[in-house]
Amino acid sequence: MESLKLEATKYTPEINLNTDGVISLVGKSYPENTFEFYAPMMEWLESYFDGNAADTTVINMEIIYFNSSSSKLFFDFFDLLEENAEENTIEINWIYDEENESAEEAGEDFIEDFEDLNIKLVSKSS
Amino acid sequence: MLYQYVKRYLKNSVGTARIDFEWSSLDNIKFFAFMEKRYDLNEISKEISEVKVAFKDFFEPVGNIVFRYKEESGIKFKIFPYRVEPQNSQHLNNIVKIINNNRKQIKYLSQGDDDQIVILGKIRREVNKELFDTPESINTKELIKYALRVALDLNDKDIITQLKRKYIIKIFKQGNVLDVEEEVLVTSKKDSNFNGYTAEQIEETYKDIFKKGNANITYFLNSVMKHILRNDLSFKTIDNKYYEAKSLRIIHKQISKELMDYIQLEDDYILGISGYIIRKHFSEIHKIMAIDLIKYVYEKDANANKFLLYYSGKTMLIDNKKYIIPSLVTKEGQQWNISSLIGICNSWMNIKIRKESYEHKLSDTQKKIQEINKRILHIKPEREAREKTIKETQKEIETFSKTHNALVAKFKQVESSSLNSTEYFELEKELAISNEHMQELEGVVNEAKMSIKSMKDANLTVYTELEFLTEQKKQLLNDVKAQTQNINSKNSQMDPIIESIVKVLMARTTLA
Repeated sequence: MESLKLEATKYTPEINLNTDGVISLVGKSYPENTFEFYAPMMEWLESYFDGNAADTTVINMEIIYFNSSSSKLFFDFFDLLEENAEENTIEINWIYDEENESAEEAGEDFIEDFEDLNIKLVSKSS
Repeated sequence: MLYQYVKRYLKNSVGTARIDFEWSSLDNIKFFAFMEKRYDLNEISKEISEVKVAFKDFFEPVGNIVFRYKEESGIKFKIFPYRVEPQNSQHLNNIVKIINNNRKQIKYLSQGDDDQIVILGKIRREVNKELFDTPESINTKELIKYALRVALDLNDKDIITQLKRKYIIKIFKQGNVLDVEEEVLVTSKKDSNFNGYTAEQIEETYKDIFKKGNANITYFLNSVMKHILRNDLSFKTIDNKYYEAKSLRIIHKQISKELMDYIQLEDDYILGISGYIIRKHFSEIHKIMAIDLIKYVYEKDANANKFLLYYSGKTMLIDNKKYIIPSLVTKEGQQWNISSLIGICNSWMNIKIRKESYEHKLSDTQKKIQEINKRILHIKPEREAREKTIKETQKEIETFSKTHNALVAKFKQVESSSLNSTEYFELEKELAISNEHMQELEGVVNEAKMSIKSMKDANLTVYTELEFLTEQKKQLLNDVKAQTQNINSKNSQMDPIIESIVKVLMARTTLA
């Protein structure tokens, strides 16, 4: 399978999906049609975990802002990761600006909802 | 991330979503105080749709919300039960299709006596997409479960539970209807396990749900049993075989369903609580059924009569096996004479129905009295307001009269000396205006006086009606008291009968 990259826009983050196991989502997320926008990413991940995964998968999420429909999509995203966490080594870094309390709290909420996932909160200075 | 922030607030301040939750003005104040720590009112107003979605999603497990926001007054919302049943959902066919198109995402496992099916994430995610932002007023969890039943052709006995985000289905193997082993989930005395949870684990939650100020357990059980006895377990239609095989499961299912509508907890835990409730209130539940059966026997329903007469204590032979039927016995252990049992029940029911009729009339009368008292309370301040208007306007008239009279005197003076002068015409105009104003003021006083008069007339009618209703209430109270005394004296005969019927309903036809 091939790597996939989606450029950032005003409403959507930059998404890098690499077959070597490094995955990143960076930017804001409030697309008009969330499920449609993220469908290629979800399909790629399903295919990736279906026998194409690297030894270790590292996911770096740096989402400055996301709306309610994105929140639901991220829920499905973590759900997919959790499903594959037993048979794969998956590390998730939730990266947030130290002054962005909302982003920090969002990360904490995801950690609470997905106890079986290895999610680390990573603070960075502005 | 307004959505996340609001959801966090609701989780910490409201706790568990409940269908009877009411949002007060104090809640409103606290909410906005919390929100303004991070967002100003403008931002909140601009993104109010995010706030609304957060509320909607938080209360989604228990019902639909109608949400209103105004900058001046904040948030108002109300929770309504879902209106659409799963079988009538516009999404049902699509969800069944999704399940069928993703059969690879369904794992079949064998676990001892029972089989298990686990629904994997892709199906769930596809279903989430299908249901995202649906305007349909439906419990999506129940819809998904229903769709699973349809797609996988499950039996009523098979249980679908949700553990975290996974749907797990327990397939029960078919058994002999007369082999009545107690359901694991329900009332086995040997088994202190409630769907994997111990009584200690469940007790705290039970106490919390049914503590004072929250739901009342008697009301809850009555509501559950009312539904069951009108639908799945009506003594007008079921036979004893069906009753013995299905009643506990039906009760367990309905209690679980009503709890799921009321509180937000994991399904398997709710199943455990339901089993606990049944065991704890086993007698009460069967007493409700006993009284319902007596009612139908009183109404001479043939099926109910047959149902009751079954409990003869006789022995049946089925497939060369002997079964003993439970028996309606007195405290002394003797078989009840069915005719006299039914006779006592009928007599008791007569009194009960009469008493209920009086109670109903009494309640109506009390409501009417309350209405009248409200009207009386309303009349007094209205009259006082009119009297105040009269007083103030009369004072104004007194003051204005001085000016008016001075104007009249001046006009008369000018009229007698210079009829065609400019001064005369000016004064004439001024006087006309002054007269008009005086008339207006007098009009206000007259209107207020007439209003007081009609209030006095209405008052008279209201007090007469009140007197009549008060007398009626007194009579009805006496009637209710009399019937209560009658029924209490009948209870000494009736209680042992109810106890006997409760015992046979709790018992089962057993192998000899």
